[in-house]
Amino acid sequence: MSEPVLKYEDVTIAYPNGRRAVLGVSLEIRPGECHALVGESGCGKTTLGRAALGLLPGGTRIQGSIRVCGIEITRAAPADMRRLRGLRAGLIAQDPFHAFNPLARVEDHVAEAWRAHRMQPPQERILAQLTEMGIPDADARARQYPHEWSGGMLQRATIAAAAAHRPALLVADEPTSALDADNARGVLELLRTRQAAVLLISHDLNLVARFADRVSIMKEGRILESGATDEIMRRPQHPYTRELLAAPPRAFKGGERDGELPGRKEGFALEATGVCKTYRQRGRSLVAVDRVSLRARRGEILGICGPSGSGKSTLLRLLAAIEPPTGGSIAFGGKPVPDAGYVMPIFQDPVGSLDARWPVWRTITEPLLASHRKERPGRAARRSIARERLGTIGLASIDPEARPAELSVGQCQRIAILRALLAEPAVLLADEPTSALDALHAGAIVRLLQTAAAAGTAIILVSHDQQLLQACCHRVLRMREGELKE
Amino acid sequence: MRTYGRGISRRLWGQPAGRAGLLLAALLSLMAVGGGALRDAAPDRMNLAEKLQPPSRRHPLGTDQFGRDQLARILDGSRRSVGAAVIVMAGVLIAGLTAGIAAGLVGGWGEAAAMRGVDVMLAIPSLALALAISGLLGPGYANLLLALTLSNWAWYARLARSYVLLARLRPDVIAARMAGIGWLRTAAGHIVPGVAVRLAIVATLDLGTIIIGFASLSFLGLGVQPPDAEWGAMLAESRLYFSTAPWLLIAPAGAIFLSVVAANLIGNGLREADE
Repeated sequence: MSEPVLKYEDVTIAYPNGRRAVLGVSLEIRPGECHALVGESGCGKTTLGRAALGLLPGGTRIQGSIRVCGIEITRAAPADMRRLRGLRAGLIAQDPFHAFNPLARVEDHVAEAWRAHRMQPPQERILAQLTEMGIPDADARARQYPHEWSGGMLQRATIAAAAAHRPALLVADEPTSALDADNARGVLELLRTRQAAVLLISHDLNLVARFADRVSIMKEGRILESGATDEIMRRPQHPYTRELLAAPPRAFKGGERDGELPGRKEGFALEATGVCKTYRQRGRSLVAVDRVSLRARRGEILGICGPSGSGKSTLLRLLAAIEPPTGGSIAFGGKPVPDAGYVMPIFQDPVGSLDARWPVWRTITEPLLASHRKERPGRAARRSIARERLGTIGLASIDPEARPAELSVGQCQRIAILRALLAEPAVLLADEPTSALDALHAGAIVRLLQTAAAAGTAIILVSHDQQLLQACCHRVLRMREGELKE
Repeated sequence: MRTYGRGISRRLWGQPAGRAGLLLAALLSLMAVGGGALRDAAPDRMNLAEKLQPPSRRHPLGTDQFGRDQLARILDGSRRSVGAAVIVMAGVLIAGLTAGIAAGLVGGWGEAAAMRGVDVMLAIPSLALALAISGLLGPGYANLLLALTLSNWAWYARLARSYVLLARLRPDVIAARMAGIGWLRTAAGHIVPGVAVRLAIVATLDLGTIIIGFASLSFLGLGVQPPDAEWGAMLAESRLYFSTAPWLLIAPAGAIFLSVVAANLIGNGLREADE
C-alpha cells in the first residue's frame, strides 16, 4: 500500500475564541483518490480542509497530527508551508467570483501559480492548462477580466491555477456551490481527471457521491461514518447518513402540489408586465432583464431556474421594489408600490440575513415594529411571541435569547423565514434559500414554505436546483439571458 | 451588543500585547486620577534653592529650573495629557459618527456635499489645520482640544459613511426595510452599533497620534499655559536645560512614549480581537 497523501490522526482544532470546530478526527487519503467530506455548514469540514494547508487563523490550536505528503503540518515552518502550498497541495475555493481580483486579467491569476514560487510563468503552459480545462478560445479569453467570464469558467481557471504544478493533493471546498447544475457536474468531472488526490468538501451528499471514491459524513466536528462511496450509499450505518440520503427529493413531495390551488379566486399577488432592466456600463448598455412578464397567484409556489448570470437576482430586486425597472410595470396587489411588508425576502446566506448581535426573539419579531403598525408590542410580549412562533415550526428547543452564531445554518434560515412571515407578506421572494443547507435542513425549509403557501402567500422560489423546483413548485419558469420562459 | 463587547474585551485581555497595553493604560489612568494623592508635593510650588537638582531620594525625578518637583508635575500633567487624548477621541468619534451616518443614510445631494466638505478637510494635514484653528481661537487647553477635534473628525466621517453604505446592502437591513421599519429605527438597531464598534477600534489605533499631536501643539505653546503642568509643555521648557539637566527631558518624553505605546498596544489588540 502506498503512503497516504493526506493523513489526519486524532485531530482536534480549537479557534482562538475557544470554539472547538473539529473533535478527534482521523482520516487518510491515498494518491489519486477522491474523498468527499460531507456535512452541513458549521460542522467543521472547511476547518479540517484548511488545516491541511495551514490556512487557519493565527492562535488556532491544533492537537493531533496532520501529514501532507509525509510533512507534519502542525509543526512545519512557514517557509516549508509556502513551498507545500501550490506545489504539492492546492486549494480550490468556494466562490470563484471572490477568488479573483476584478482588476487583474484571468491569465495573471493563473500565472500567479508560478510567480508565487518565484518562477517565470510559461505563457504556453498557462494557455494549455486553460484549454485542457475546457475553456474555448483560451488565447483570447485569458486576456479578459474575471467579470467577463461565467462562474463555471472562473472555477475552471482556479482549478487550472491550483493544479498548475501537478500537486499530489487538491482541497476543493464547495467548488460547485456557486454554480448551476450543468457547470457543477462539468467542474467535478474535471477535478477527477487531475492526477491528484482530492479532498472534496460539500454539503450535498448526492452530488459528490457520484464523483468520490470514499465518503466521510461529518457532524458537529466529528466524523460519524466513513467508507467506500458505494458502501455508504447502499448501506448507510449512521441514522444521520440515512436521513441525509432519504431527504431529497422525495421528502418535498406531497402537500398541495397537485391539488387545487388554495385561494385561487383572490387574484394575483404580484403581476409583472414587460419588465426590463438595463444597466449602463462604459457607454454600452447591458440588458439584465428583458421584457419579463409573470404572475404569481396567492398560495402559489412559482419556481424560477436558470444559470448564474441569467438575470435571476436582478429580477428579484425588481420584484422586491429595491430597484425600479427601466421599462414595464409591476403591480403589487394592484398597487404600483408595495405596502410595507407586502413583499418579504428570504436570502441565500441564512446566517448573514440575521443581525449577528441580536438575540433570536428580536429578529423574529422585528416586523411587528414597522412604522405603519399602530400597536407595537413591548419586549416581554415580543419574547413570548417569538417563543410561540418557534414552537409552531418545531424549534421550541431554541432559546429565544440565543444569537445566530449559536445556531445551525438551517435553524438560522428557518428563523429568517419566521421573521418574513411575521410581516404577513402576500409575496415571499426566496433566493436560493436552500443552497447553503444539507438535504435534511433543505427539506425543513421547503416544508415551511409549503405551509406558508397553503396559508395564501405567493412564493417565488429562485434556485439552480432543478430537482428541488420540480418537486415543490406549482410552475417552473426558466430564465436565460434576461428572458423568462415557461 | 453587550455580549459582543464582553467577548472582545476578553479576547483583548487574552493576548500578551493587549494585556500589556491594558495594564499600562490602567497605570496611566491611575496616575491621571489619583496622581495628586500619590505625591503630596505641590506641582507648582517653587523652591529656587533646590533648582535643577538631579534625581534623588527627595525628588525621584529631580527638579526643574524653578525647583519644582518633577514627579509631582508629571503626575499632575498626566491628568491633562491623558485626559486630552480621551476627550479628543470621544469628540472625534461622536462628530465623525454623526456626520458619517447621517451622510450615509441621507444619500443624494446632501451626502455629496458633505463628503466634498470632508475631502477638503482631509486635504489639509491635520496637525497644520489644528495649528491654524488653535492660532485662530488663541492658546488655551479647551481651545486646543477643540482644534484637535475639528482637525481629526473628517476621516471618521468618511469611514463611518463607507461602513453605513456597506451595511445598507446587508440582508438583515434589507429585510427590516422591506418589513416597513423606518430608516431611523433600522439605523439605530442594525447599523449604528456595528459601525460604532469598528470606529472605536480605529480611533484607539489613532489615539497615539492624537497624544503626540496634543503634545506637539502644547510644545509649541498653544495648549496649557504656565504654570500648569502638561507633558508637551514640560518638554518645551526643558529643552533649554537639556545639556545640564537631561532628566527634565527624559521624564515627560518617557511619559508621552509610554502612553503612545499603551494606546497602540490596545489598538492593535482590539483590531485582532475583532475577528
